[in-house]
Amino acid sequence: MKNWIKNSLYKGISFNTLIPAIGLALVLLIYWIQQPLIISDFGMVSISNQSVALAIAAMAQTLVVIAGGIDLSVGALISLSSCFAATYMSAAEGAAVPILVGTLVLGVLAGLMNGALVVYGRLEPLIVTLCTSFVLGGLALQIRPQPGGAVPSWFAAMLTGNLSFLPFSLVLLIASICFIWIPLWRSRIGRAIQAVGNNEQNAYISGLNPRKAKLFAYAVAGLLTAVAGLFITAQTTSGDPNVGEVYTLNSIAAVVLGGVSLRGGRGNVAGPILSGFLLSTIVSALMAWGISAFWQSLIQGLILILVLVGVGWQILRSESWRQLLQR
Amino acid sequence: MDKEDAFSESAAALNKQKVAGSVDNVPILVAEDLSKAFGTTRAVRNANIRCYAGEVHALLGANGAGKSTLVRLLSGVLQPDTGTIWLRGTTVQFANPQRAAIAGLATVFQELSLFPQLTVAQNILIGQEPRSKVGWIKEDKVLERAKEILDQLGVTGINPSAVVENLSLGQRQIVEIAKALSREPDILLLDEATSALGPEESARLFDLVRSLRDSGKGVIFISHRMEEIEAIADRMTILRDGQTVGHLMRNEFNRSDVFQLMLGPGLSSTVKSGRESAAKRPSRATEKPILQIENLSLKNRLHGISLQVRPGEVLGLAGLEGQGQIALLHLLFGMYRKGYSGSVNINGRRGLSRTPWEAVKNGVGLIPEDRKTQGAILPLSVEANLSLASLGALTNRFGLIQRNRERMIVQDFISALAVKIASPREPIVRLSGGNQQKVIIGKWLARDPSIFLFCDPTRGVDIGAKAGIYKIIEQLAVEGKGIIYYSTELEELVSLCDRVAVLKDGRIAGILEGDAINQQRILELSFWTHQNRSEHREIE
Amino acid sequence: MENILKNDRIAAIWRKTGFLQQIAFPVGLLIVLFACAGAINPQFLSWDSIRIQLTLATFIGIAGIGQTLAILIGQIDLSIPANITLAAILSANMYGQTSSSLLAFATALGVGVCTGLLNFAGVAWLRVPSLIWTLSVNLVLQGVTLVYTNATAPSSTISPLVRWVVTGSIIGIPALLIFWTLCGTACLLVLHATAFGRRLYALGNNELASAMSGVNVFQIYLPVYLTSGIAGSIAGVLLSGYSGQTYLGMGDSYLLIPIAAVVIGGTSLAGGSGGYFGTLIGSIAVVQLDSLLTSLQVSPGLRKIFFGIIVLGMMLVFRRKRATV
Repeated sequence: MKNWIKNSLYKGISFNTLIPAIGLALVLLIYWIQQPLIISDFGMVSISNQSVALAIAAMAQTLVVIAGGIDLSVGALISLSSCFAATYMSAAEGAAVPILVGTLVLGVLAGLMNGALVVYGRLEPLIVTLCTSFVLGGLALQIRPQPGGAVPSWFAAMLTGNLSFLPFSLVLLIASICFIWIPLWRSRIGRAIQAVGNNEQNAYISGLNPRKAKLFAYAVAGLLTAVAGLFITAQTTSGDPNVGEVYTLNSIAAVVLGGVSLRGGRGNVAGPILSGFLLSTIVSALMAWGISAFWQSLIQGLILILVLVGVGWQILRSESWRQLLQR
Repeated sequence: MDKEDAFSESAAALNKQKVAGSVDNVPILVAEDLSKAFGTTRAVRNANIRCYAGEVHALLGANGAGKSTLVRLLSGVLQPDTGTIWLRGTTVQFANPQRAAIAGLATVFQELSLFPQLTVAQNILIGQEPRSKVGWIKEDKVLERAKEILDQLGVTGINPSAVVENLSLGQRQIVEIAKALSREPDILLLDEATSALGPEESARLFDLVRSLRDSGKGVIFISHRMEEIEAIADRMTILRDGQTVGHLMRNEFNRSDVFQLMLGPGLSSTVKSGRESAAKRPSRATEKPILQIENLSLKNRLHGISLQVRPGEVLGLAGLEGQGQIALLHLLFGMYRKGYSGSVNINGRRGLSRTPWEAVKNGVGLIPEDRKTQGAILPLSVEANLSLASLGALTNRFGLIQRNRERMIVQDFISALAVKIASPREPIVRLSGGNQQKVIIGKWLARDPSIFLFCDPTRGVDIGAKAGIYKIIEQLAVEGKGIIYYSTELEELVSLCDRVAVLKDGRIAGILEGDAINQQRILELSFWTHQNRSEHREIE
Repeated sequence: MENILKNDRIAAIWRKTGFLQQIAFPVGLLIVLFACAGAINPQFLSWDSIRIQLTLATFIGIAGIGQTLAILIGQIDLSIPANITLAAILSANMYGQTSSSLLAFATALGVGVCTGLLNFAGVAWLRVPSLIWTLSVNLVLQGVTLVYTNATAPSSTISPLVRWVVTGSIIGIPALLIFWTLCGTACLLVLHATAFGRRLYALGNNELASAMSGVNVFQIYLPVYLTSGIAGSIAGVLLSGYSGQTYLGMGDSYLLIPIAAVVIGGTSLAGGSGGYFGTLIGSIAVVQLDSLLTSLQVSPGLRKIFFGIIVLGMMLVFRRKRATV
């Protein structure tokens, strides 16, 4: 058991993870200087509740990116999960738990839809997930044209409350890592996903099944996205067909900031999770310093550009035009 | 043709004799009458090979002899058109390399199949990791098993927890071998395992091979390095033109005999006739070189190359594959951005072009070795491909392309090159390899640079198209172009070139001029090592 | 002999119908949509109705010029939404301050050029995947817009010249359509009749082989992204002329819709095949589809679902099988 923890943690700490880790530490420091209350149980809950949704969404995006694809339907699926849950959870007595499970199933199905179109339809993940984002977003609008709905109060409390310094949202994140991410990552399929994203031909030669690996990646990503959606539902105690919009680009940003290459095949979920926290808290931190919220987009955009420039700079150092021009 | 058949018949007879003699040792792997054709090219015909346990069996042949196809047939990447493979007495058919490995024949390919971001242990055991009851991979068991395998191989110095991308190429090769051996096969097939290794790492590899042999495995070893084969092989099979033409035991090894087998009979008689074409050309010895390079080096590929080409001269580049010939031509074409040094003078300009389009502007054209990804733009039409490099000359002052002129010029080239197509608008992908190559050459003819660089242009091209290409070369020589012609076909080099520079390990092994050019000499120089000339060799 | 004749005929048919094949779907879709619309409500086929459709389609079409070019070289431009918004707002404010249409237009152009240069730098030089780079540029532009509008509210002073272009007519033909026609013709001309266009298609099909045939790839990337930036800005200004005001988020729906128009028009996302004519038809088809669904009183949700399914279906049926090894 100890070895297992050691192994998992050890894998997580790499150079790429250090950058968002340091960044997050800096942000928290800046925050704390202006707002010392941030280091309190209330402050911790506040930060955690702000960031967990993006962190989990980032996990989903990381999985798909490592498998060699991309998922532009994350936002739409979050909206759909929120609309679905908020509309039907309070529909009848005792409906809450089955609907909760139903939302998760919905997420898996959405993921499988993406995966099947990519694998069997042989279409590019970009356009597939773009289109499914329309389909899922449309479904959300169908279920709930206007924000509204309700969730049982125990549900909201369970996910957004806290026990002293331990926010329940953080527990949710840890549970997602322990019960979804790690089992997948440490299974043969998880290994296959990394292999496939790196070099599909080599994976095939090595006796792996690229199709199965990709399908799994998209399906589990869908599951994680649904979890994020459920959390947001608990947070807002309502369903909103547009609530997930920002999460698409932000999850990709978290992945890139977290040191995971968009080319696929390599990377680790620790970086994106930390980046999720970083991106979510930076706005509040800056607000504490009197920098208004409308600087948010610009700052986030500039951070992203800077990181991309850093990544791209390395490529500029390639030796031959052949390397450079063969994307 | 008759002579050849007789020769191979006797070789086959020789073969059977030898095999009959070794009664105590039953072969683990027997491949008989294997044939594989790609379109009209027969890459392998009636090839035979027998491998025994506890033996290192070398597979030898000149470029294009069918070695790599035979390897792919044996390893399960390709299925033979005819013939049978027996493994331990039972007929087998491998759907893919993994099945082959599980059945008992594991292959280590030249292009490694490792995943750089995973560790050594993870790579070795990929797809067969020991799992817990729940299905999780037991990392400690993975590490353990990997250590076991590495120990069995006598490998020290490779940390199984190290990430593969941090290892040297030689170390990666060893990991690839460990990966192949993890399935505990009876036969290990090494395809050009040492081509990228330095002497130290090669030595370590050989120790490994010897220990495998001693532990009762069979090893099939493909290599270009004669000295390696002499050092390690117990048995040798030689291929030529896709057929098994010779089979020698260790005590029968003899370099010149082997070369003879590789090249074929009736060699000396072709020398004079081979030079007919080139000999007819006027001597250009007194003209100023159109291309001059001195001490040109490219990181890890070329060392101290000095060459010159005069207008109207065809300079051949020879040697075994991967010795730097293609790197040299690409370097001259501006494909490298850094990592080179030396002085260059092309068309009166000093220095190398920094980009390929600059090189084109400066009057250099390259016919690449990979026509499908570098030479032709497959989905586009023949017309579009032909005019791509000379669009500037086809536009009027408003910047619009003069379609009529283009059509005329394209038609001219198509007839001149005898490209068989129904219409110039046909997508180039539909053409045969030979015709595609003609179009690619035509693209450069239309551009009319002063220097033409050819990278093995007749590879995979039918006889008719080949003849057409030779005619083009002749014409270019007459027009006073500077031509560097890299080819893996010795016959071509002999008949086309005024001079031939043979490259080995990124250096010039020798330059043959005029009548001194013959296949034997080229082949000898191709296998040249530093040991032939007592010079100190740099270890990369 | 017979073989050659047969091949000849097939080749001739291929030659003649290649272009037609490509636009068959979008044109067919358009006809079907018009027919359905007309069947439901004959008013749809009236000139007034069509004029509105075409007006809406113009904005998509103009933005689509840039998107088509980017997709043709195998890339994409996701910075259009913020480009539209920023160009519109800055341009309107400039007009409000100086009452000079020229300066207003120049401002918009400035935004477009900056966007284009920024995109070019990342995609061509840093070789960052255009998806994430242009999306990031979009975010930055959005940020700039937010910061700016916090200090200065977006104005509703639209240059009358712009208003005229969007709503006026010349001898009965809407000025906007003439404008679109001019731009479209220029685009088609460049793509199909110039050396630049040839090189662009070559690059979209095979960047390496093009470079090795003497094509300076950077000289293709730059005009493509500059055009995309400028086209987006122009679309923004025109949009402001249409709605008579500028507001945050006015460009937001132009993220995916121009891409859909391009894809429906038959241009392959992999690059190298298709063209602007398809995008032109696709823009009209997209607008038609949307209004048809609206008229059927299909809920916004279902509309979105249909949209996604149709584009997906299109891709599945027409996905180009690339001719490689």
